[in-house]
Amino acid sequence: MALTHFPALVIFAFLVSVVFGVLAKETPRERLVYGAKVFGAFVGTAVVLGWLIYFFPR
Amino acid sequence: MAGKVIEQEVANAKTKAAAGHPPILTLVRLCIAAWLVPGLGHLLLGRKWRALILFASIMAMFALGLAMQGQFFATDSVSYLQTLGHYGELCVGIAMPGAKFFGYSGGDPFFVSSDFGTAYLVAAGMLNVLAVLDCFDIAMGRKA
Repeated sequence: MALTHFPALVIFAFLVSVVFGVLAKETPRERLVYGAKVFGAFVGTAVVLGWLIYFFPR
Repeated sequence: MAGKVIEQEVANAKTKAAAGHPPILTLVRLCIAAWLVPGLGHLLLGRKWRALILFASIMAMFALGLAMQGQFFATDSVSYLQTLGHYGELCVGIAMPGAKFFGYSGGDPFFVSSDFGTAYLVAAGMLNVLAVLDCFDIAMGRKA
């Protein structure tokens, strides 16, 4: 199965967020909120870093 | 009202602390079970949904790693990082030797998604370590 960078990142972030949310919090609502935050942090950081290194010469 | 809730929580914590932790052999068995099959430790502790979600997530990550031809590292590698990677992948439990048994060759480093696949395999192992630690904490009464 060949994946490009972004889908691989999103799937990775989703699965890790699910596990982090389940392990770190107790109530379903807390888990959902925490999982969403972790997912957003993963994807957001990757996109920001991706744009930052865009400006560096190859 | 809030004071009563806190008092109740403190009383519960004291009761748990007084009850002590389970025998060491039980803890070791639990942790080995949690390591061998992701989520099994939580299942043995009666956390069915948590067990199911952990099993599904970690095994999905491992299966995607295999599908992307992620590499299985070896201990006899010249690189310490690859040796560490081997132990990281081994943390996923019986899935790694199982994949080898069912004919997975150990990955193709020249396949386009192989690096992603390797990251998935190692991450699955690391997530299982977190699950084992969580299971240990629950058994010790430190978590609900």
